[in-house]
Amino acid sequence: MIYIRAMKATRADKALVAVFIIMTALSFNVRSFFSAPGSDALVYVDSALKYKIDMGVDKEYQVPVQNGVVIISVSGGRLYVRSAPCPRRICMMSSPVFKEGDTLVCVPNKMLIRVDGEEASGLDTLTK
Amino acid sequence: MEFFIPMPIPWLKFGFANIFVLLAINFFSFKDALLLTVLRVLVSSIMVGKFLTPAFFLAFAGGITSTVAMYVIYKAARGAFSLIGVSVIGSYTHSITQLATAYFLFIKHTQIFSILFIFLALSLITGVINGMAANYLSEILQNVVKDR
Repeated sequence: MIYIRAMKATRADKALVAVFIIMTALSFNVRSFFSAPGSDALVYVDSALKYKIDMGVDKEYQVPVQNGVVIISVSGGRLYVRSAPCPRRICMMSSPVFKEGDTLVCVPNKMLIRVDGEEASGLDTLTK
Repeated sequence: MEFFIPMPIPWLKFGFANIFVLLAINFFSFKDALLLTVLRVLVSSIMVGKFLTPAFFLAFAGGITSTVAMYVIYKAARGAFSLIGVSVIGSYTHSITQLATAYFLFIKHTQIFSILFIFLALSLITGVINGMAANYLSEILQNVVKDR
């Protein structure tokens, strides 16, 4: 039984494509649904791993960088930069990070913070 | 054969082979379409030397699920969709299956889902293009069958 004979798109086709366009747009931030809250935060300064912070403990950390000290604060499983010795303070204004794979970057201080989960080793199949 | 067409991005393919799967679903049967998919994946992976590599498993899983999904939609819609709709369903299923397979078999990292958006956007475009081509070929084949 051949159902489809015409070469023209039907109304249902157009509706389907419209729905899929919306779904595609919604998938833009889909990772946040999948990622669990991270367990650790890795702090890199000048590309070198300096600290591994436990996200479960509310605490403040002082990270020495080139021009001074960056103060990182963890509270309620969320991590943010409380004070930084840089001109524009973009890292301080960034929203707190808490999910696996979230990153917080401070360019003038050459500091990068990445939240890591338990299952995520950071290695892909090839490197394993 | 698509392997020989140069592409701007290494892992992007148009999936033109799907045009023939669509035609098989429309003119032959589900069994033929599935057989076509399996043989296509096997033969092409052996030809380009990717048999039993991760790329092969991704293509295999994506091919099977998208063929099944396209057939189910084709049967259920009874002609409400043209081959464009069926093709888009197939390309979406293909992308999602590939990503899920990659996640469960190879890369256990949720960061892989960040590229879902790009995958879906591209598969929507290629799905529509393939569906239009399949519609067009469908019409031609229809006339050939009628003339005989």
